[in-house]
Amino acid sequence: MTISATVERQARQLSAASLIPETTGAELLLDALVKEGVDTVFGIPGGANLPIYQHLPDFPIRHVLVRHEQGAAHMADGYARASGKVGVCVATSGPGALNLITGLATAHFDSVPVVAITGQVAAASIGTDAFQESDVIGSSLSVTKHSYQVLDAADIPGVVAEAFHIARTGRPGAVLIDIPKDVQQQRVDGVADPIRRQRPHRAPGRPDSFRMAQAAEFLLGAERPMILAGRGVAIASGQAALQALAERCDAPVGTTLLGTGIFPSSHPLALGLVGFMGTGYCNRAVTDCDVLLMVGMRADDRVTCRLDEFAPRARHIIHINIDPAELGKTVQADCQIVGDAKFVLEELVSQLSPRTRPQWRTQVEGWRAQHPLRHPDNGLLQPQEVLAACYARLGPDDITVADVGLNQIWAAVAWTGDRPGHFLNSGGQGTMGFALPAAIGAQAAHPDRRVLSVSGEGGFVMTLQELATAVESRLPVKAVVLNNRQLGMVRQFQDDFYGGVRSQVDHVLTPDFVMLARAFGCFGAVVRRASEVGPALDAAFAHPGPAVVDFEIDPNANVYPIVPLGKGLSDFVECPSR
Amino acid sequence: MSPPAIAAPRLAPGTDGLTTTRHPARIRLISVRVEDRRGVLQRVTNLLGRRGFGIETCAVGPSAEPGVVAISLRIDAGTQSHDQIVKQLTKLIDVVSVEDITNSATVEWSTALVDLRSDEVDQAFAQLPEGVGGQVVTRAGLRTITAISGPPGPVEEALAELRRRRSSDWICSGPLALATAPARGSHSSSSPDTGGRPVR
Repeated sequence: MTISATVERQARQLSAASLIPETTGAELLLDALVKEGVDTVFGIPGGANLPIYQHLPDFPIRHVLVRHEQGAAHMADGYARASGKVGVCVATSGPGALNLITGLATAHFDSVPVVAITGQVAAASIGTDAFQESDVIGSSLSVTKHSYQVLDAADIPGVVAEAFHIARTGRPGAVLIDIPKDVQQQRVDGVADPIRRQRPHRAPGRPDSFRMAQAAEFLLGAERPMILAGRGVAIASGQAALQALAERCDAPVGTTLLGTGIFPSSHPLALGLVGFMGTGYCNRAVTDCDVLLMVGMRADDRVTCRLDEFAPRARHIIHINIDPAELGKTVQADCQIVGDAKFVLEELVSQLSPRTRPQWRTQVEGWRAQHPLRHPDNGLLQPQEVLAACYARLGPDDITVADVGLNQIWAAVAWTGDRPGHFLNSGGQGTMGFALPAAIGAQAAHPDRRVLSVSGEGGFVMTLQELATAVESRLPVKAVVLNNRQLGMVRQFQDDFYGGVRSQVDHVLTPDFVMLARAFGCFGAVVRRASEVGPALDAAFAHPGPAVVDFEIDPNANVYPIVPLGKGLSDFVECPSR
Repeated sequence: MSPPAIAAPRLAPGTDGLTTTRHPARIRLISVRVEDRRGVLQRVTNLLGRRGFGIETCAVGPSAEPGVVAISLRIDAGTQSHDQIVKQLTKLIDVVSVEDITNSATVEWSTALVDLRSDEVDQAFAQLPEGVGGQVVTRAGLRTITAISGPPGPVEEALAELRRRRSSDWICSGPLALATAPARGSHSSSSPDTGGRPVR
């Protein structure tokens, strides 16, 4: 800092001295969080964040004490996805901060607004390899939208305000604030001015009207229009506009994993999940459409599969995203629109008159009949039966959080909800162990709703220590474990794509989940037959606290359809006929 | 001590040194302006590295605007889509503006400090390629520190020649680059909204 800036700051501090006498950095932080509307934070105290915890009881903030910092980040993520607000997690320096990284990556990859607050060793010790020092700024660079290391407590209010603004504005993401312990304890008589920037962070302005008119023209002239939609539509609250556009164009709609729920699954135009493990009829429609509109999605490799065979008959591809960097990154759309999904969709609706496309619809319905979702009927418990029974017990406001792997695809494809924000999962990072802590976070945001965590036994054991958090903090999530005693998706890959060599995928020892649940103070049950599914779920929901139900499913149950690695979307393989 | 010797750059007829340097398509010249905040260079280089862009040269220093640092980068985009350089850098909060000036009318200028045997200075200066100027900075007995500067290509040529003289040592800056006219066929961004124009 220059001398003149120091003098200026001292002058400001003197003038503000009467307003905030001798406030510590920790109190400024907590005060700033309250001003941002934060009511809940997830974290663990440790050596370098103790000043924050010293003052925490003085502020109207609920603290959920987690058992591992990764859990704190996933809970903040689940809280944010379920509430639309910014999720906040807190960790100490060193291992505490580094344990957040997986969770921050998970949130950031899926454009979820999360703010992480980490304690740091005293400012003078930074760079000396002090006890529990870690370079959390360097370590988190690639998994955050922005980060701060605060070296003067007077900066804290401005930093917190900007961090929350950045986390939630434009394409949302994760932001980290690292505060050395002595800065948390620093007493200041005033605060610095808000951060001023040459280029303030803003959401994109009004989209290019020429491009929007062009998109409308393409859609109008389409014989076989198709829409793919992702989480960006949910972030923009654009689901009504999406439905209106689909109906106006008579265009079927496929959704990404993260887009599950943004288009009503009961709607006749709904084709469900697109991509690698998407429905056969959705992938056929993408392959045959003549105009494809993609909105609020990135079009990553799990959506496109073999890129040069993606939408090969499309004369025009329209791609709408709030982040310009996602346009032209994989799919080369000839009409690229930077903008808010809701705004663009509404604009397109206003420019288009209704047109039916009976021939195209008949063709799509033919594919729906030709490629139905099937699962084996071999007398063993099938995951689809379990999920149908779960969803039948959920109301429209209730929330399902899926983990990663076969369970995630089964849960997404079977999802029957009609609104976004009620089916959550880790789409971009595919973080196993996400479901339970994210469900706890969602439950903290909505204490009155039923919240279901759906995992395999592999992902469940990665973060199951958070059952203690759920019990202790009275967050009664119901954990459904689809237990095939394997890393199931890896096993399917080994069977289908890696020479049939089953290598290190069997969980020879799977814990007794009923005893485990009871050890944590949860309700526990095990289900081996279809007839036991309903009663076990009813008992779990009747229990006032968290519950774990272990469903011993068909160990060979696979996900179908699936596109073989390296193949195009229309090369999907279906479940062998019964 | 004798006054410093100066070898004025010899210029080809009709040129003023302000020409667009031809680069292979995968080489991009990027001009970035960033807020002068701690760690900002790390953010820029980390982003480029993790997205598969190689930094060939990087020159950093204050800009005409207080609080703003100018970075001139020469980037090897390899097989990556080079549009991503500007688009991804623009997403960094501390970045004020990013411009791909590869196809712009641009001045590129490199400077090298060269340590020569004093009795070789005249010959070295005489052999400088077209467009490169040389200047004696200081003499210390048998050694003379000279500065040579000019467009990056000819400066690299001059250094290659000096490499053959085992007696010399040098340090060379990455090229500084300044666009002298608006970019053609490239795009720039000074705000997160690129207006939705198609980017090829």
